[in-house]
Amino acid sequence: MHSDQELIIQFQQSIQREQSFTQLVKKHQVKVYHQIKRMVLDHDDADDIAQMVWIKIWNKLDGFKMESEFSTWLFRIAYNETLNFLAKQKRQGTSNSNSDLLDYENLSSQTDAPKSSEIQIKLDQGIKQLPEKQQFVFMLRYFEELNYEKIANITGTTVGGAKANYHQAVKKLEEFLKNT
Amino acid sequence: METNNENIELNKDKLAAEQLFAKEDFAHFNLKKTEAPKDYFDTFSDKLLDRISKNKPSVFYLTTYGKMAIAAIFIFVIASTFIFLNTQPKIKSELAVISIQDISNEEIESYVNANEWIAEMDWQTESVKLESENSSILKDTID
Repeated sequence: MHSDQELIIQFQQSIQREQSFTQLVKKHQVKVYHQIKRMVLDHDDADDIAQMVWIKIWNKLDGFKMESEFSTWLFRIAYNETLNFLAKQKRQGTSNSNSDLLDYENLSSQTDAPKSSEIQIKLDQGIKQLPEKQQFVFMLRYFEELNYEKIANITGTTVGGAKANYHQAVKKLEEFLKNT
Repeated sequence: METNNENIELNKDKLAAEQLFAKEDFAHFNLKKTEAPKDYFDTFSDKLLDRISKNKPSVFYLTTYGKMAIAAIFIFVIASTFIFLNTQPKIKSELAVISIQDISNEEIESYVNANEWIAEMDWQTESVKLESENSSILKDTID
């Protein structure tokens, strides 16, 4: 398996452009999808956003200078596209936080995963009530186990800001639990 | 050493969250949230490339030299306009000077003679006006 750098150079030199791009997609598609899906819940929306992210990558990859890691750039685009989508949903009034709990339960009935307990539903609600940026930072840190430097580059903040976001998220989860 | 410190910090952060919810709860949350339909990832790249090939617009690549060329044209247009506008009055005044210089003395005299009666008429009108103004001023003054 070629490294990201090798695949990007092949792409930029138009050497088997589609093949090198496909390899890049296959390397990173799962993480990109997970990052988006944790925020938007619906598979079709996540699929749409993921495709938009990769189309942007295809259009801009020729100009990518490899000053940062490819994955950081990729996740940064995914982060921005997801936030844009959520903002658009809010403007259109299609996002309904009250239906999210119902969606969560419906989802569990459609998949092979075991049904959620009450505490698991509370965890879902607790994370959902966090501001979007804090949700992102928390999930990137906890589930993807990324360091704060990478999280800061992805979310366009400082390392200190990213750390603060994570700890504030944990604090708000604690408050949420106390109040429910 | 740095990686070790990072791992220690990561574990601390995760522990802080796991004091609120169990590790299994987080794992369950992640599983539910990230689940994808069967074979989704197997076909994703093909579907993506298909969409990219259908959406391919006609591409105009602007290289560094292309950008520099456009900037140069822009500067040229601005500079030309500036130079053109700055030389315009001089040309006009030169033209005016030339045209006066081109007229002979005979022509000038004949023009003046032809228009003398107008000049006289105007003078007469003006002189009448002046007299009436003076008389009104005298009337206003009190001896």
